[in-house]
Amino acid sequence: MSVELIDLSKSYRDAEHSREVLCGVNATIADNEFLAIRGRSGSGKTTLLNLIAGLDTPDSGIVRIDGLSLQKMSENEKAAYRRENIGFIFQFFNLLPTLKIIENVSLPAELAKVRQDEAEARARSLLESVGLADRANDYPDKLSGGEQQRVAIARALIQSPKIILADEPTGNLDSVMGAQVMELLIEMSRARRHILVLVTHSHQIASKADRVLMIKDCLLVDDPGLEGQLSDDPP
Amino acid sequence: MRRALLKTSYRMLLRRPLQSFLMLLGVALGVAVFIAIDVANQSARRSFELSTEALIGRATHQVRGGPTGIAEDLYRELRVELGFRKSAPVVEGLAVAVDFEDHILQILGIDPFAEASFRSYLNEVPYFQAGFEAFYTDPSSVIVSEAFALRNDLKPGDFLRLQVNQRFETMTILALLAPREGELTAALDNILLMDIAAAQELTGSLGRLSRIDLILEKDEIADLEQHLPSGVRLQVASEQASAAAQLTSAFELNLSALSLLTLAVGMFMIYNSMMFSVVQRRTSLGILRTLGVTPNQILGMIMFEAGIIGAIGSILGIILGLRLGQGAIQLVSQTINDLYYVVNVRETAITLAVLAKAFALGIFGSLLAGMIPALEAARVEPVSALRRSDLEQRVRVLIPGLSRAGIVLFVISAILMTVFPRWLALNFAALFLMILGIAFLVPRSVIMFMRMAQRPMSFMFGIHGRLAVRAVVMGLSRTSVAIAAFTISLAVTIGVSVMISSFRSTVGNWLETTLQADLYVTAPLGGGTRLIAPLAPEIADVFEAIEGVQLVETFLSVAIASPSGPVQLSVVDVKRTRDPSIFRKSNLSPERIWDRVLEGSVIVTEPFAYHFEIQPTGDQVTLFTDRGERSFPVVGIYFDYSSDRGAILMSDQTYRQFWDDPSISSLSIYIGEGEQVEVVAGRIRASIQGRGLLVQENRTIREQALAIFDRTFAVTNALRILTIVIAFIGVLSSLLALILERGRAQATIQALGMAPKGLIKTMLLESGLMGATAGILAWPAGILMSIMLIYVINQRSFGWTMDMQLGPTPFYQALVVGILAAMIAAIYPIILLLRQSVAESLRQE
Ligand SMILES: Nc1ncnc2c1ncn2[C@@H]1O[C@H](COP(=O)(O)OP(=O)(O)OP(=O)(O)O)[C@@H](O)[C@H]1O
Ligand SMILES: [Mg+2]
Repeated sequence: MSVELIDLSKSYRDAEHSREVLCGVNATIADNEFLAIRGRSGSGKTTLLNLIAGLDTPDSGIVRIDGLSLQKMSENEKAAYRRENIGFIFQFFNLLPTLKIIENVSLPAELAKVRQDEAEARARSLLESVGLADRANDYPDKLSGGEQQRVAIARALIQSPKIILADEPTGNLDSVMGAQVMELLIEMSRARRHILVLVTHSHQIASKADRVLMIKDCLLVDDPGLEGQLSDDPP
Repeated sequence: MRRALLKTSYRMLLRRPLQSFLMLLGVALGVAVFIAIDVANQSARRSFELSTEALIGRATHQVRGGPTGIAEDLYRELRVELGFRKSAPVVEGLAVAVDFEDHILQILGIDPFAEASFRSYLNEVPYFQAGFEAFYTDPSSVIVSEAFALRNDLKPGDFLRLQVNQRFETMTILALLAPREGELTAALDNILLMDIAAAQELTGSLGRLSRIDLILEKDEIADLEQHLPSGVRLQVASEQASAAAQLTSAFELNLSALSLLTLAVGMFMIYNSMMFSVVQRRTSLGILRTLGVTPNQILGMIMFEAGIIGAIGSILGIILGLRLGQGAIQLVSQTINDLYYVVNVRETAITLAVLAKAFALGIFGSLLAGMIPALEAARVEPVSALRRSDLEQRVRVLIPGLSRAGIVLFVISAILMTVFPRWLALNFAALFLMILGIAFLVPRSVIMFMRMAQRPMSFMFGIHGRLAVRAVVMGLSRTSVAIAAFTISLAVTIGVSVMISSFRSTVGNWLETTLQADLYVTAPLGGGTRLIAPLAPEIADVFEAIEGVQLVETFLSVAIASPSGPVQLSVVDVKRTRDPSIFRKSNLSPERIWDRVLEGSVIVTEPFAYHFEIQPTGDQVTLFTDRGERSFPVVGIYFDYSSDRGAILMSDQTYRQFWDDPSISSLSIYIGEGEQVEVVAGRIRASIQGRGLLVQENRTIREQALAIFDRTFAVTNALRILTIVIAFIGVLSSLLALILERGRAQATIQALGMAPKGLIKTMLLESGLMGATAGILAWPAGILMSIMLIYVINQRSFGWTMDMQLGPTPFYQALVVGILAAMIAAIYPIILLLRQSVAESLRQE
């Protein structure tokens, strides 16, 4: 599975000003690749992930998944594409407060019409691997930030999607907790041979990626910071 | 500071225009219905009062006799010999202007020489001018109101064809009456003014007067009373009008109560919307608190919003209500005409008091509904602003208390009903408390329901079904209020349907048992009203001689004065035994009852027994007869649904013995075995050609009676539908609120792969579930309601018993309406939801 971004542009307008967030982004993400994306706050990282997930539409340009253009799909088809291929980990966890932990995790599977008992079995084993099996029947507001994010990771992985989009999954966590969560995510997605697109501020985390790109002046460019770091560090 | 707060409120209301609009609509519809009913009631009452007042004029007293009036010699005696100079003779009657769609005219025969002090508007007629002699000399001269003439394109000199009793007469319009006082125009609309002698001739009451009007000083009263012969009484003039107004009071109260109910459902809606807006603003409220705004100021701010909504909604409601009022007047006056008295509403009685009352009610209702949300808002702490989940938590904690309160309300309601069986308003209060009690039990029931629905919903609709159930439970604070309002309106629908159908089938059965004769002959005058022109008594003999007629019974319905006001007397010459099932209560066997009635006792209808608290044994009814005051023993109570003021049934012999009135108002004809009804009816019609009589088969009468019955409930039906409309708006606004509130969670689910069609499915399931819950909860509530309506409200308003008929139709209808209405209400919120960009919703906190 591959992801191609072709000439993607996106700008936001209101009455007074128009703001270009992305202005012709091109990139290809290869199968099994772990891609890190960096960029200043407000540079358009979340916007880019939303475009890849088909949650948002570009002003122009194409997102192509295995040769199929997202822009040619209906909303229902895009939803099916997300269900089958995408695992999304949000910047702000976004667990559903009205569902128990186990239900939160099994939700994507159930949306894909997996039988409830099977979906819950899968969810249980994933919760086990993120270390939260004992909290399965709690509601999300009972969990700490790190725990919530681990639930979100489990949720993103339940359908064994080909592509995992993680939007600063540790942005709202302290560094120790953040590192743990991140380890978990990278390890699990490696093991399952997913594409992992990870938005992060951290050099350290980015350094684990196969490739690091950066959004700068509305374009996606190779990350100079990473190169500098690489050259500094002994191989 | 205060101004800043008000500005916040104002912005809030504008920022969610749809929500605000729906709230306004809720208040407006409630107020509108209230006003419409009030205006209709008042207009009918007012025009009746005006016309009575106009006819009474400045008289303080009236001398009246029995059904045939009083001898005119008495007038001469009073005026000339006893010196009561301020007195005027009056002859009254009814005539049908046959060329104008059954227009009923009220004959008023007067003596212009005696009128001066009584009816000032009559003095405007130039009786004593040249060219007006015809008024006295030509008995066909009449004066009609200018309004009537204009409407029917008539002018002085034109002919006017009338039917009076069984005769047709052609009159000549001599002049038009155009009262200078505007109010009188409507009151005198259907007047037919004549010279007294001409009126006597026209109504066939030569030598008789309907009454003598008098203006008396206090000390003259006793003196005059001394000189009255037996069978003639002196009455205070105003009593007449108030007695008539009393007739409709229960009917009016019933309508008002139903209109208040619509307003109450509207209040649920405001409560829900205000609560939503408070929860939504928790963050800004918290910030305001940190800025030093006191809880009281916050409370004031929210109450201010409720007040604004109430005020604007009430104004809209008043405007709408005045429009609806026109329709309501039609329906209400139709029913009053059918059941009570002739009323001709030409003007809408809109008093400032009515408007003020409605306005106050709208504001008060809104403030009351906004109180809990306002208190909730005032509790918001500066730092940790109220969270949705906190609220849900608190609601969860409240539920047992709410349920207990609901039970307590039921108990209070039951106590009120038992302790004050005769205080109608309190019985309505009990009904309202019961409804509130039902509402309080809703949250508990919703939880139970959702628990039961979980498995089947999951089984049938998978994750969508489960998400729907979850959404209803987790949004309980909002969903349960919407469900409660919906439950109540559906329960009202069930209750009212069951009541009406029980009533209808009871009346149908009753008509079946009472209308035993094959043919009925009446004068056409009056239609559904009780005002039936008398028939000549000889006519019975004519019919008896006709081939195929086996038996003729006569019937007379006549208003008789009694110490407790006018009562209706039904006079029958019973020749055939009646179905024993018409008796409700008696210690005697049915045959014995008839024997006793023939011997001079009476039986009374159920409503009569109820209103006058009469027991079937030992009690008596006192009536003013032509032989003076007489008491008649009551030997039984019988079923009768023809009039809610009730009637006394007396045998023909007894009546003729105490009243010098030979007239009859209808005839029942039994035909011989093997005869064909149509053939005999044809012969009868041929024999009375040109007399303006109506010969009807019993089936026709039955159909007419049921048609009147259905018309009577037209307003009720309209109100019932409006209540559902308001509840529908309530569901719509809570679904909207729920969706707005759930924006981010919803977007998350979509991001996780729920397709738009799945979202539509979930939303429809959720709203359908709410509708179904309301529909099913409405079953027990509706049964309770119909029991209340049948055995308490109706029984105590009108005195009728009816057999409760529980058919399945209203129940499944409520369920279907509930589900469908809720799903329809979901359409717009779903569209809104689909229009929202997922990416954007995800960004919101
Ligand atoms: N719906 C919108 N309307 C207007 N502007 C928007 C909208 N969504 C995003 N933006 C703007 O687009 C820019 C990019 O937003 P985006 O969320 O992609 O940034 P980001 O790189 O994820 O930032 P952060 O690291 O803070 O999460 C921001 O300047 C933001 O203000
Ligand atoms: Mg971002």
